[in-house]
Amino acid sequence: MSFLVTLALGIAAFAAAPLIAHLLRRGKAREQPFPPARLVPPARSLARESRRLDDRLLFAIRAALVVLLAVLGATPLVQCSRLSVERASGASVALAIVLDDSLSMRARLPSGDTRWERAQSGALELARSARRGDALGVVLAGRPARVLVPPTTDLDSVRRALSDLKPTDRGTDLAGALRMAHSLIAELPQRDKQVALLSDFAVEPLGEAGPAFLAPLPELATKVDDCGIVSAERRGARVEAAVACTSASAATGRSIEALGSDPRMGEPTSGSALGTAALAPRGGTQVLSIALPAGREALGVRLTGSDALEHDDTGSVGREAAALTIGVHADPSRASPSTGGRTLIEQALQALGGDVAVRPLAVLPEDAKELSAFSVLLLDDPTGLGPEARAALDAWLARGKVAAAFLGPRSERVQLGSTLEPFAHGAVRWEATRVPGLDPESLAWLGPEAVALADIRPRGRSLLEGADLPGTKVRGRFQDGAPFLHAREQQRGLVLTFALPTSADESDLSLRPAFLALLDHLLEVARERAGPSRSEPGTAWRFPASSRAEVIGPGGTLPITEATRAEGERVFTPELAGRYRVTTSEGTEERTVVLDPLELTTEPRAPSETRQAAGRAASSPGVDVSPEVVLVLLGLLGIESALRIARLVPRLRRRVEREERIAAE
Amino acid sequence: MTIRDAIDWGRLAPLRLKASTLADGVYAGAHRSLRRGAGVEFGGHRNYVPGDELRFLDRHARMRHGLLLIREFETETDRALRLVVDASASMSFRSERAPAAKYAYAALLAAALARVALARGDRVSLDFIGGERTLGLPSTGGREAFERIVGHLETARPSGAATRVDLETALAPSLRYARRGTAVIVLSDLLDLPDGAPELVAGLSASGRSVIVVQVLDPVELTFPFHGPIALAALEGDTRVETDAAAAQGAYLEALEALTRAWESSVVARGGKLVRAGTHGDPVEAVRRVLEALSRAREGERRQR
Repeated sequence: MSFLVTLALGIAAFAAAPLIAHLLRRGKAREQPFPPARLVPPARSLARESRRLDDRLLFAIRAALVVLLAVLGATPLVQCSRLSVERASGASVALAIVLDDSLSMRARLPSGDTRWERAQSGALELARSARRGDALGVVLAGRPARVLVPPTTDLDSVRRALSDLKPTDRGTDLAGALRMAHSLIAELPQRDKQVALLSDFAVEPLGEAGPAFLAPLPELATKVDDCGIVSAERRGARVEAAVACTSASAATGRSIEALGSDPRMGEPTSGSALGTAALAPRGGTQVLSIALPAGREALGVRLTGSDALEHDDTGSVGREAAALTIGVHADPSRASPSTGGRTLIEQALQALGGDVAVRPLAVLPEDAKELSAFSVLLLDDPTGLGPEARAALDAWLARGKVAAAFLGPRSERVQLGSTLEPFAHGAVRWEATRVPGLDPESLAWLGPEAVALADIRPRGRSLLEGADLPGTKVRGRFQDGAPFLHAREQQRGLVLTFALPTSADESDLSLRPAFLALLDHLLEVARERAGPSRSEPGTAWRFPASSRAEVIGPGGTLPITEATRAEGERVFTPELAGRYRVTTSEGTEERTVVLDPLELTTEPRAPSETRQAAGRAASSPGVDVSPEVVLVLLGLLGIESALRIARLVPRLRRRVEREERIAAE
Repeated sequence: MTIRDAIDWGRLAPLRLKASTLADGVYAGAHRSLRRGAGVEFGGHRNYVPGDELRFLDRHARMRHGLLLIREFETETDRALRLVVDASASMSFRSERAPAAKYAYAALLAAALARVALARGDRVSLDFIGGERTLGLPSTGGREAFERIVGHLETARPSGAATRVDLETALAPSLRYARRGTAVIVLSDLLDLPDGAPELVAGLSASGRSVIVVQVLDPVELTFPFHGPIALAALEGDTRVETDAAAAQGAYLEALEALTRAWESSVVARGGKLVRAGTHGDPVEAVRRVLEALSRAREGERRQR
């Protein structure tokens, strides 16, 4: 408690002043010489009684006024369970609220509220405690992290946005959300910058290093028992379901049932189960196979029993998922490491893991049907594409595929009748270079790994300047400013052109972790663009603006997330797990959104003490009750004024009567 | 402290000048002055005794009945003015709203009345009820009388409680020397006079005297403008009343009215008049009302006779 606060509270001692003044005055009635005193009837007790009530009321009001003034001076000392913005120096604050809207936040706490309800109300309390001059921003930590409200001093808009917010089935990206939050407020003029993280911390530990944050609601990290259906797919006459449980106790005595209807789509599930399978009493993810009766089709699955999170106890049965197939056209003699084995691209793709299948292509297919099996096509140091191959590639790209070419020394030796289109226009010259590497800032969209590309020591590079086709954008550059990566939309597809091959003889590009990040980003783009049959909540589905697109899922028809992108895309982002029907100009397809098993199996854990150190004061937040105190003060002043007027009016009336009587006499 | 300082004259000082101005503003024809002229009123017969002036011998009775009868007359020129001023302590009271103390106001009225009477050739006497340095003035007239009366009024200092002895002492000269037709004007607040005072004063009305009681009150005494709890101390005696002003106001005003009515009924029953004057009021109007009351009292006394 600061000296000023103590001093302000000391004012409360003056609450006794009205009492002392009252006691001093009480015993002495004003003495007045009055010759006809014997004609005046004594009425001492009556006079005292009549004043006692008024005096007590006035005394109470005045004492309350003094106490409230003391509280007003000491604000924000007052403590209560409500969250509020902590002000170290009383000045304006730049506050980024990171609100976890992942699936695990739907869990119900022992108190009866869900984690989401508590976190949302906490965020609203923080927003309501902000004053004029404060800047507030909101970042959502459901994967991928995104900005809900950029920093603004329009506090009402922040409150409205928070009030309208709904939880999602997304995974959690706390680290990304924290980085985003800090970058949001870094440039704001307010000296006091804070990040309040409202999450259950059901993620991998954030680590000791990194920007500090406040975690004002530690109760969100309370552990609960939960089992949830991660995914369910048809596999012939069976349904294969992945179920994730937080602990053995959560799985004990529970089973999964296959249903003839889809509860996620709101269809009734009153009928008997088509099949069932018991859960093994253990935590973690387990895959169960449910046999279906002949001729029956299962549309949904359901877990028996109950737990803290009912929302994930049902699931949709999707069609058999196809892995993301990637075709790699590379010369093993040039693109493989000196130790032999598969090409560096293939090894990198395998290292990424996940649901991908890599197929090497010795020759580029010249028929679009042959390409249709691929979602991504990677060409390493191609020598050109013939007319048939280009036509097949164009048709394939029109279906929302992704093609990438890593141009190398062979790109300037394009064979007769072949071109590098759609990757580059005309012949691309290869030159020797002494540039140390790439410009990390131009590749910042890759994340922190981009820094490693600054020193890849290329021996040569393809000159992409002048080779760009209409609509090409530069997404990365060398340190001397020459383009490294061209990106171009071609109908629904995306064409990427790199100025370096993957060969380790030409550069260290494929040997750096950033190469994995580059490929991972490329696959992510491919998933978004091609619209895999199975994706996680929060994955954007992109369609050309010129194409008709409608997406109907568990929550009804999905709204368009971003309709005015420069690329002219329609973007849909499913937030809920379940089966979706996607209707475009090219037909109707079914897509399934499944949960992240880590979101279910990762237990909440207390955040790092070190990273919370800077915000420890917020765990017992001071509440600025100035507006309320001022209102009460005004109310008391009004009451006192009314009392005084009530006393004054009859006095004035008597005075007027006396004046009239005197005048009459 | 000078004698002058003992009285709160307020805006009524100097008394001499104020009284002269006041008298000039008053209608001077309130009563007839018949010292000079034929205004002789027959008063009856009595037997002749040696020594009577022969000019009063009734010649017609002697010739008609053979009796020696003396005609007696009552002359209106003998209507002297007797002023009795209350100089008890209560008369020294002056509130913030009053221009001067009650005694000062009463003295102003007395001096003005004296000047009016002297201007008509009437004789004026002055007596005090209680007080200090009070010096009565026997019936006197002429140019010097007004100066002497003003001097005596200024010299007096209101103090102490008025006892019955004080009252009888003040009224005794009037009882003894005032003849039929004499006007006796008592100026007092009537508040702390001894028991039986109304009857004593009203008794002056006997023998054809006209009694006018002028009740001089401060505006505070007239209205009781206090509020809240208050302690009131009388100036005479040790009366101290603690009360709630709002609750006591009505009862006080009623009591004051009752006191005034008691005085009025006593005085009026004997042919006198009671005039109430507030010290905040116009003294010219007050003097005029006193003179009118005197005129009405004399008229009533004449008709009664």
